[in-house]
Amino acid sequence: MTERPYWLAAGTAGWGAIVLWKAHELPQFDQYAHIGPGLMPTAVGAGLVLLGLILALQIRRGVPFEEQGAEDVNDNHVVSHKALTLAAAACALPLLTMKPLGFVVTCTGCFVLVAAAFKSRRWGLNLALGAVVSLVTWWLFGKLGVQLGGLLPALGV
Amino acid sequence: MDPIAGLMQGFSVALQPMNLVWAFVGTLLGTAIGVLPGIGPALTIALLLPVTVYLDPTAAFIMFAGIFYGAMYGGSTTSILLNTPGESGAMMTALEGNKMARQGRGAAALSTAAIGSFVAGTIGTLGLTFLAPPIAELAFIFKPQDYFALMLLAFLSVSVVMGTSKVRGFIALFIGLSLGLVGIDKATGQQRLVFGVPDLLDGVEMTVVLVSLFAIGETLYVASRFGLHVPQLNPLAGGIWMTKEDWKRSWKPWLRGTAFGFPIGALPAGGSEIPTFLSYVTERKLTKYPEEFGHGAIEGVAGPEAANNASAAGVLVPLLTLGLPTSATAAIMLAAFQNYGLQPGPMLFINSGDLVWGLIASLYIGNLMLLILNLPLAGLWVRLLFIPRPYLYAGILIFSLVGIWGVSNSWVDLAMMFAVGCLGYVMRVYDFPIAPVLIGLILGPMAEVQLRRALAISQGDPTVLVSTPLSAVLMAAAVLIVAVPAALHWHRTRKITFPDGDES
Amino acid sequence: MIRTIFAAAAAVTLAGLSAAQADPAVVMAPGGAGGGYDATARLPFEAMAADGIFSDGATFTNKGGAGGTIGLAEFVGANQGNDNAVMSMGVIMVGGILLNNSPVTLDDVTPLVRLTNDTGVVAVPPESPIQTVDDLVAAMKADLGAVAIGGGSAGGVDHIVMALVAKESGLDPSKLNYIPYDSGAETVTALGGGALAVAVSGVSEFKPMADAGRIRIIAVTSEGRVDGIDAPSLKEAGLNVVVGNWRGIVGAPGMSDEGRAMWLDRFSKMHEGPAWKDTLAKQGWEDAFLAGDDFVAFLGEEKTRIGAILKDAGLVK
Repeated sequence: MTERPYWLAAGTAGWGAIVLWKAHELPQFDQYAHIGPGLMPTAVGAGLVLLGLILALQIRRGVPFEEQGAEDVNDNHVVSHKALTLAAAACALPLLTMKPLGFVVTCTGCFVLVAAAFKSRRWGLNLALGAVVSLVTWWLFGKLGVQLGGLLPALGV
Repeated sequence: MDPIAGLMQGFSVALQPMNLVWAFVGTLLGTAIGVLPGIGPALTIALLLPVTVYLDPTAAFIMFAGIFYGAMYGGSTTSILLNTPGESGAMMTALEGNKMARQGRGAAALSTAAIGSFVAGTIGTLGLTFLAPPIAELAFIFKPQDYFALMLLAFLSVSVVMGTSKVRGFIALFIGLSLGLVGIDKATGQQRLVFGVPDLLDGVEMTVVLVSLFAIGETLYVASRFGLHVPQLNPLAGGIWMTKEDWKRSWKPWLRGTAFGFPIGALPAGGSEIPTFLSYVTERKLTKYPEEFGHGAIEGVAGPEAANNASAAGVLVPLLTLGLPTSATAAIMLAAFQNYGLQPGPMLFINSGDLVWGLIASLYIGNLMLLILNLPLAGLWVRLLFIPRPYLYAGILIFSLVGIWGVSNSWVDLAMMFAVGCLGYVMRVYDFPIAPVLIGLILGPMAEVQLRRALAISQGDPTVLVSTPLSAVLMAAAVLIVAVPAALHWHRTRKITFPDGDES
Repeated sequence: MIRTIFAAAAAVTLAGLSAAQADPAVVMAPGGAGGGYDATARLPFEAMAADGIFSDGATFTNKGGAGGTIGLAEFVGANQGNDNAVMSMGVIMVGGILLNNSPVTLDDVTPLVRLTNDTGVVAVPPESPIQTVDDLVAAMKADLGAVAIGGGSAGGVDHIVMALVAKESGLDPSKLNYIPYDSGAETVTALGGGALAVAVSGVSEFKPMADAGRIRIIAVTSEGRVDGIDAPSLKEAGLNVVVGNWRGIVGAPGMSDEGRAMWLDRFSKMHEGPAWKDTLAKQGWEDAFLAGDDFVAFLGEEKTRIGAILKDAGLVK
């Protein structure tokens, strides 16, 4: 790949800058240990900024980024943005629904979305399977005492 | 009571049919729950604590012992098959184990993990039986500077897992370190990188990062590049048994892993992670097949798995000999002791010898039971990979949510899951190694705390860091680990003009 | 925003349910399973059920973090005016609220009872030249930084004990060389191994090791002496320092007078009954029962006292 993903370097250095900025608000030294609460954050933040710059230089020199292999990945590394969006939506869904709609509804939604991301088109079957798996998981772990919340918290059950 | 007589008496208790049933229930439950991300032995035992009301102490502890070892073992299954370790001790197993599974050698990886766990668990339990008092003394000998040197050694030696590019490896490590800084600074009570979010006051939850980076990142990555007509790999292509060669390559790592795990597990600030890191690195350095590392070397599964289980046995040493709980799981077992009105501590062996020896005997039995349970199951577990991909990955997401939501009920943790999952995706696409993030997150705060403790006690004198024989030796080893390969590299590049070929 | 609305909706539903019928109590334990707050939340309900005082059961929620303040915030947010909701708490939460600058405080809840107490002990390594509290104070006066003190979290009860000792001796509490440890196990091994000069922890954590001769207890932090420990209290030794790691129960914010009276009645009966006495003995807890207005007054004093000493120690602005 001849892509030049400068944003990776910017992200690294940017996060480093945030760490540095927050570290700056803390005392750097301490009366006995000398290493205060702020010293490590300063070091880590500075390290990240530095590494971001080095990465930017590497990218400028055209360093290759080879994707990591995984099982079930197609050989030509064609990216399906639609599938990625669906999978990401599945991971973001709990942010919206876990509190009000509860574990079972959320997980059913996640199940259907992930299955869709993996190009499964049997919507009805996926919905039913997702609901059953979620319900069984919720019931079983609830029995064991894991706090997964109510069945439908918005309705108070 | 001498250990042999005590043990015999313990076996007479533990081998009663009803107690065997409890041991079986415990190992089964432990294995099943250990498979789930985020739900480890501590939580399982805590959830089952109320049953102590209905069970007599011996039966309850026998069951807990089964859960304890079972959960340690269960974590390896998902690491190997799905590249989704459920707890930090199983992370190193995923590195080589999952590569093995992708070559159709998943069953062999599971077997070496099972047998390695058995060997380590048994040796660890033998150590507990005969060496507990001297091993427990280590807790008093280790000073903050010794801990710091040990952690520094682990830190510097893990550079081998950093993959192709050292720069990207260090970025991963520093991201982990920065996540480890989040929360209240233990030494001074100051808030660091909290951004006004109360849920972050106690720091970033390690299991959330672990599960998100591995399971969520993997799901996103595979989904985005999933082809309908991928060459179907037979998960059983490599057979369901370990070959003679596998045995030959596994037994030494099992023993070395045990040697790391047991004593470090017995330290109050030891834990299960450091021994697995050290074991992985050692195997990688000592192996005759260095080219296989990173592509599914069996030593990289055998060693860390043994280290993981031996550390579990190590944790029981200070608990039973001194009444000191040195891990969350041990603390909960201590709470269980108290539920029965037993005062744990140096007197426990004397006052409740029956119970303690019954517990130790049940550890042997639990271990054997785990082996019997898991060896035939290895072939069965591997068949998990025959589940159609849409459902397999959907299931992984649901189980991740059980671990993340069920443990904390925190919305912030869900947000963290999404953000770190995206990070895991980007890291996969641009070939950043994943493990250093977790290593930084786990070791960074530990090392910082010990460093500052050592310096506070000496009032800022840096020579304290090499003031004990142990810290001096460990520190020297840490320096050598960095200096020797660097010197060799320099020497080589001077002779040959092209750079040393790191494996990809 | 959405969360608040739904929390309010949940609270309304819960309130509606509780008015209708006697039903399970909603109990928050602002700490992880197996910890002190967890036991303080669960065991009273077991005792009440065993003695037939309250047997409708209870649903427990564990929400640890930041000295219990995370659980406190969630409890207050979700249970406005719910007569059926209670939460375990203790002195660590009083300090935790100040240390973490928590927007939700104990003024938002309805104090009910104090149940238990764990006395603190001050200990030194067995071979330490420090034999008495006077020796300790002398050593601290000679070189405060050279006396490395171990204990629980910064600003916790153990730290407060030593800050008060310093203050009573005319030393600056903010100059203590205090080193926090995550667990009693770590503290006691660091002390026994001689890494620390002195350490503070609860009786239950230090006594077994002291009995085994691995550490030596030089004082206890209660008013008078403690059975089975051959050491004076700090007060006997001439320092006016009495600190206990007490725990108790508070009710929901805006709990009605009837609700408060109902819970006070239940806890008083529980305290009289045999099951609770049995629990106290098993857990090795001291009975520190204090109910109703007396507890409210005590809580007020603790808040003032702890606020002042944390300020002196430089931990709270």
